[in-house]
Amino acid sequence: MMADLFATISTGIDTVLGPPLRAFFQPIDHLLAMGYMPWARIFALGFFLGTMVWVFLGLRREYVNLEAPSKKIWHDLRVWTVLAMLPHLIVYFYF
Amino acid sequence: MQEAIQGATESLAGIDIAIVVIYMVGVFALGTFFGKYVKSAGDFFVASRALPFWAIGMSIVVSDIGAMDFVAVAGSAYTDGIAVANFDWIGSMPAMVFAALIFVPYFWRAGVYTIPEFLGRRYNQAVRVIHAAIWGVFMLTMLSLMLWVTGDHFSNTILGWDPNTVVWLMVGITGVYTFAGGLSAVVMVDVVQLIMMFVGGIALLVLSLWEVGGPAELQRKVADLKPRAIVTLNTDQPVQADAVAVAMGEAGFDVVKVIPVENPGDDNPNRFLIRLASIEIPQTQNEDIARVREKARELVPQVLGGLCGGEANVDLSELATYESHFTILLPHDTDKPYPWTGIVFGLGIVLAIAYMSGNQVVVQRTLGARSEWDAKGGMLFGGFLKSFIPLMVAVPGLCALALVPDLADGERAVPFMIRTLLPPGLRGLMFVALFAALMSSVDSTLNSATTIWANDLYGRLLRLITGKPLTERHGLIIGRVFTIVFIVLAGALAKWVGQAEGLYVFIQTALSMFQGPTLAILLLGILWRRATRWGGLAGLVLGVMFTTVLNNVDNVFPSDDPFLFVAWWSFVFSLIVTVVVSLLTPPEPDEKVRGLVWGQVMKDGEVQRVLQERVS
Repeated sequence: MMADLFATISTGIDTVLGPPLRAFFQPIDHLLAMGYMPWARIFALGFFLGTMVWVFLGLRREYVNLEAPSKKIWHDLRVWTVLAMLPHLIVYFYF
Repeated sequence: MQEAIQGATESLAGIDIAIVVIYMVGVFALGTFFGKYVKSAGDFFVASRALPFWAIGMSIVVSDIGAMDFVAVAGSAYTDGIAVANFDWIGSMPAMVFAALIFVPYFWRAGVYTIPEFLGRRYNQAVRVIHAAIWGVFMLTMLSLMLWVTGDHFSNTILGWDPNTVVWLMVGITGVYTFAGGLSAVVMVDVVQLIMMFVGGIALLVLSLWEVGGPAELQRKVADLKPRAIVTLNTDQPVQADAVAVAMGEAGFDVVKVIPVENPGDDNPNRFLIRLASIEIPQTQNEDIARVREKARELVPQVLGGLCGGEANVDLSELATYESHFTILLPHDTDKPYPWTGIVFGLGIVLAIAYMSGNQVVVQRTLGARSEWDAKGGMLFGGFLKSFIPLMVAVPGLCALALVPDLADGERAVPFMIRTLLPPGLRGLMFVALFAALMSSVDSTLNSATTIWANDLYGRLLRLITGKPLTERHGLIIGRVFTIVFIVLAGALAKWVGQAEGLYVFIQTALSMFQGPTLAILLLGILWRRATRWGGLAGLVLGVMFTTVLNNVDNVFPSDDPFLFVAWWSFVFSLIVTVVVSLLTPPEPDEKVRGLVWGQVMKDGEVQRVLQERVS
């Protein structure tokens, strides 16, 4: 009973909204299918690098390290971020 | 293979059993010890805000990784390759950085117990209740499911123990220490559990690589593997493996061997693993590999349909080639479930950030931090630790592929490796690691579900009826009552939920529908001072409706299971709706958003004073 109701709703949605959604998304899919390497690697590495740059240069040190136990470099969370993300850069560059 | 797995039980030595029992007793004692420090709701739900960063980070990781992740992720690595590691790499570290430096400071400064409570303050109570209800139901269902998966799939299949006994053993141990010690007990037990999980996981990694001959040899052996197909012929008549080989050969395929394999949960004996020298046939030579694979997918059911009354009776559940098993970013139109576009945009930018910033189980640990620095540091430390998970889980799956390439079900890879590689003692330690992964997920989910139900649903209802808020004493009592009720309920319903596949899929789908919209309103709520209560409500409700539509329209995205793409586009849609509706409605007054939006850096005491003034 419930399964039939869900199936009917699903079919209704596909019939009414399927054509415009497919017309909107399928050109995007074709475009993305054409660009693989090196774009995949550039986006992935850019995501990691961009995050590191944002944390190190975009955020104020006082904001990131508010209430830190000391001002020593090993208590600086910006340094933690960069060190924790560096291995990821190597992995996504190599594989 | 069933015999191989059952062999693990038969070969469990006395020392293995002793290690598991000592571990269970130790964890129980440690957890209940923290009960003496719990005197109020704040002690119970957010550990008196006294947790250090290292405990928070370790607890986040071990709460997130379940026992079945060891089995399922290794299985996925066996079948689809290293791309599954994306969930713990690009799907974790950047998200945890954003969570640590954007979301956590605002949650922590607001002094809230839950994320719905924060959303209620930033937007309105409708957003709070909707969010709390969805997460409350989801976590209770997950609790039952975790218990059953462990009792049935893990303990029964691998250890041969009675599933109901294991479920109630887990209920007893985790229920009692979570009841007694609340978040403090959960986090401190998690610390021990993470250590055990890492010891077991690293032992499995090292021995797996040793057996294969090292990382370079692993890559070489996997690259040398010949393609394979797994087919099920749906007919009452028994079909011989030789007949399958002949039919495939006549169609031009170069068949190496055909092996009958058992079909889990099905009596149909006609399931075969076909090893091919190549998926090419003479007619497809000189075509690109994607086209060859597509043709092979069409051709195999046609060829074997003759043995069982038509191609509609042939299920081709796998057609694997191994040229991309060590490629982490797969093409957009790959036939594997992790295309790079979905991974970077859907997982990295939406699902992962929504999960790390909007999941009560993850965030609740940071809300119990002793300082804002510890809250942020705990999240970052957790991200760092999580980077090691694929090494302990996915790499053994790949090693299993190199050592035993003819397993029909990739999820048998880890049980096989445990049985064949680990000596007595270390095997007990590995079982402890798996139990640790399970118990930490159960205790964390139980504690977080209790927190949401007590504060956002019961507390809200109490306020509506009596006009009074939940007091610290009342909160503690109700938190403990809910803990007992929920864990007993989860135990009682475990078998039913575990076997009701439709229910689990429904709840998972409902939750996934919320991820993109929730992230959109959380992000705008913190970063954009102009976001209004009506913008937030419209973004959430219309975003969920848009997700429903995308989930019900065929052939919009290239993948058969397009959850990564749906997450991305529902996030974009909700972002636009929230911005538009916010601009069309009056801005929120300054006093309402003070301390809750970006750019208003205040120390905890100041925020508390402002929020207190607003409440009174």
